Amino acid sequence: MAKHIKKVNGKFVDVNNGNTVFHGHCTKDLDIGDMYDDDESGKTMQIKEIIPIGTSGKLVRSVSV
Amino acid sequence: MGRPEFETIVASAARESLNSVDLSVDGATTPIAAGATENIDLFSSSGTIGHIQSAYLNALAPIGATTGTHLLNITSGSQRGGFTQGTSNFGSDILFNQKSWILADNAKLPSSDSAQVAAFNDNVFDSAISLRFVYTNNTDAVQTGFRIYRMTYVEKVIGS
Repeated sequence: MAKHIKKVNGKFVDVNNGNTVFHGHCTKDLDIGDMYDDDESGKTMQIKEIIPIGTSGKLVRSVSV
Repeated sequence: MGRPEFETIVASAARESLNSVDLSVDGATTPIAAGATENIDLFSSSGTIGHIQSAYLNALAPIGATTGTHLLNITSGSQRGGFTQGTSNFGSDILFNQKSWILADNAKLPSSDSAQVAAFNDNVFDSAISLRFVYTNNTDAVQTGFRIYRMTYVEKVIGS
């Protein structure tokens, strides 16, 4: 099942199971198709592209759904 | 879909590297609906800090729009509030080049070129906290035009 990450009390949790996923930025460990709630825009975003850059950097493109 | 091109130049015993990103997102195949948002998150390599040097950001005016605005925002993925933002009316493009807004006919934040440069120069990111580019289509038409996100940044190895 695709992840759906939401910030709750300062922690990022997967709304599918309530588990705390990680601390830090909410798109860091997501894959294509996963979703997160953007607390700045208030929108639910879905990951569309992940593009590797350099040694282990990456560019993540997501669009509101 | 996007057509990315990347280049990495490693120098100084791999303690610093210069990276460039060229992402052109074709709105014909990846449209942005009226009221929708596109986020582009840039993460540096593990064990490095990224420091943005320059950027070229372009969004065409949504074809067929009759009201509203669209905007580009440069921010951190970890905090609310943008570092700098350009907003154009429905009939105009948005263009950011190097370190400031060239075309944003509704509003530029900060308003002065020097303040925009200062806000842009403060941006750092790493492998966990991104530098985020946000495009928001607040017009009444679907954005079917190109969005271009080009940037050059330096990665510095932590502790070097």
